[in-house]
Amino acid sequence: MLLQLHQVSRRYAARTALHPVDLAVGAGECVALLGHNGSGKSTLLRIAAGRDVPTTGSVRFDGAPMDENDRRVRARVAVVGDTAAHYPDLTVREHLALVAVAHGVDDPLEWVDRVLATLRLSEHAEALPGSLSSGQLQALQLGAALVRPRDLLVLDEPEQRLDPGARARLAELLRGELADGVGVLLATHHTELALAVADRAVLLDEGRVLLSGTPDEVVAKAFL
Amino acid sequence: MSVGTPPPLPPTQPEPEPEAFELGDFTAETLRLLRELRAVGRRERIRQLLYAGYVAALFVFAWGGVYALGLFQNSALGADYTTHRRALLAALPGGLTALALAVLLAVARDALWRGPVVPPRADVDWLLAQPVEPARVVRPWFRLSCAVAAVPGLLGGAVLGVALSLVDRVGAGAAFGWALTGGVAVPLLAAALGVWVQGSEAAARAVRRATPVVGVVLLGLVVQTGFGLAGDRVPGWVERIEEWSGPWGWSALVALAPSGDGAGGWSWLALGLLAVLVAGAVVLGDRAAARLPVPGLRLRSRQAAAVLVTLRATELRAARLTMAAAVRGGERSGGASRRPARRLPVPRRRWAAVPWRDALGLRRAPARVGRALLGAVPAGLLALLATHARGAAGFLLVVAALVCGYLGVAQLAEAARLEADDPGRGGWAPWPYPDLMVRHIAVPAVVGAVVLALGAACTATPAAFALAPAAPALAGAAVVNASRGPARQDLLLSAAQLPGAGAGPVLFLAWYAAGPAVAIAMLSAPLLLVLHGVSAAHLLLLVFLSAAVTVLTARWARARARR
Repeated sequence: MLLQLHQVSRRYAARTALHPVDLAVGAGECVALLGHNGSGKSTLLRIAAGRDVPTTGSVRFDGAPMDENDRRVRARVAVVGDTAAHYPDLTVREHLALVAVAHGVDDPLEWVDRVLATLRLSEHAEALPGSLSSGQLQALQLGAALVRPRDLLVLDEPEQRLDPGARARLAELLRGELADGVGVLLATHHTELALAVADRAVLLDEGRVLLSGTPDEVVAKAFL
Repeated sequence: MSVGTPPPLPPTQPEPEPEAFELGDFTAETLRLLRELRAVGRRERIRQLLYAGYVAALFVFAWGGVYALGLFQNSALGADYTTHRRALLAALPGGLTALALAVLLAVARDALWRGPVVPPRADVDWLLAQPVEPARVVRPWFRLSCAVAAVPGLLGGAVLGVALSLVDRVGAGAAFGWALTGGVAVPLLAAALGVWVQGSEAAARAVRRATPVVGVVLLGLVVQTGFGLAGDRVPGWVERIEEWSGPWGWSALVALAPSGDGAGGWSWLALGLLAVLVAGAVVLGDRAAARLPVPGLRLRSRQAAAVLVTLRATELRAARLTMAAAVRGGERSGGASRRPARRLPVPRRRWAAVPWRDALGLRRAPARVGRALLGAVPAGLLALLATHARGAAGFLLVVAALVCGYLGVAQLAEAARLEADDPGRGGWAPWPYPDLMVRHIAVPAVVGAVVLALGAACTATPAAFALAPAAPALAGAAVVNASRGPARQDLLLSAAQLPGAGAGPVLFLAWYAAGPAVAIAMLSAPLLLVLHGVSAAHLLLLVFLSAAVTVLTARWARARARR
């Protein structure tokens, strides 16, 4: 397994945000986390990405403890989280080039142009972040994950702020990732996205796993 | 390793085998590219910083340098400043030790939620999320923090150098040399301490535990300094213990080395100890900064950005709440929840409901009473000093005493501020919101009177007890401030003009501090009369005026809350 969470829980002072959870994501496999706001999806995702430390349990990535401080983890795990800050004086293309160079991508500018084309951002390539819409900023975040090599893609509600066309392209893009052997852990409110790309789905409620199985089963049971 | 491939991939994209994963380090290339891309903006930012530095230096020189030169000129022409020598030398050992300790505590507390190493959010989100070497990104921020921290230390040292030169007739070279050394050492040490707290949960816990103890020690040192200024010096052995108790005292020993009360050869020992400690701490801090965990840096960077946003919106209360939440967020889970809830008997009378709720709030947050004492004790000391001062100095000391008293009493009015944060919280009460706000005056008024009396007791000066009757008026002023509503940013943009500058900031400040400003203005004169000679008539006048101001502020708070 690429990513393995064993009895992971998280408490914040008196509040338990996540009760013990087991979860595994293999190479080329997509696991979707479903649930309403505050159900624990983002907490679980942060822990899975090594950005938070679980109160109990362990997280292993490719057999080794998951820790964002480990450069190997940052080299192989791409995270699309909540809104990121940007350099106000760098263009979209320059942001992506910076990421590509940090990962030692050969011919980074050509690769950046490919990603820009995929995300329909080419015409905004020279725009500064301040002039972009929230959907375009979200696309830029996705671009930062795609412009670099990766084994695991962790996405926290990537469909947020995207228009229907961009959502459809997102599903297509994630299927491409899976075909390439990238593991995908996805938190989403958008059941259509989960149904379209996920191999397994986990429904969370108040930090507990309510349902787990194929996306069809989970969505069907959840709406019963 | 694989790469996403919706469109055709460029043929050059590397695809190493998973089992033969080689991690290259492209930190240098990444930082070089970022420097190149931001070169134009960086030049502009440097120009702006240099200009800001130039304006600040000009301001310091115009207001401090010229004034100091004038004092030296007067001294050369025969003016005698040595009359203040006894009081100054009695106050400085405790005062400088207190200042150093306060700086160390403040920086350590700041490191609980922010710390001296906080890269901008863009660096955290775009650089530290990649496999670059964090040390290359993070270390410059520690070094910058050290450099920035040294500036106020140098300024403080310069002020002390001027004071010692004039008052104690110490040679300027020696006075400035030692004072600047002592002044710069403390902030550097504080920056290194901050990194340690930032990177270690054990250190953060220790800071939380030590805060009340250090607060009490600080209070003691402030009392000692106040008595020193009034001419009463503590025994020499007490000062020796304070000065040798740690780096806070060593810095005072170093700064005062050339004065008449200097420790002679022992000052060199203190200098050596301080130099070794500061150098070691800065080197270790630099190393520790490089090892700070990336998730922690991300969290602190976001917290600092959130506080900055609220400060820019001039919502100081929101900024304080954000900071408090950030500090709480850093605490280990479970601690607060395991503490048994402190209770008070539920009242049977309707009128007692709000006072009961406010008293319960203070019972469950006793630190607020402690913080109120931190304001009350300096208030008592300033009142003590005002009893000896005449004319404008006496009036200014009384105003300062009332300001400290207000800051203390305002700590007790948190329930009113909570009510104002969300007026919907008062839905349980059978009174309309404006009446509810007025009812929040009672508990801070009573507890504030007790706290101000305790502050006065620390000075052992009967006249200082005259501060206690002012508590209801100060509590009323605190509730006026709590009821002020969203920040009036429109005032900052006011077109009104003062000689040489726009009136916007002054108008905003007047709106922000209107309640206490009015209360203090009305109470200063009668309090000064009482302090200069306690008579029943003067005391009665003070009590009567305090009652009148309480009624006025209550009506004002109600009117503000109605809006």
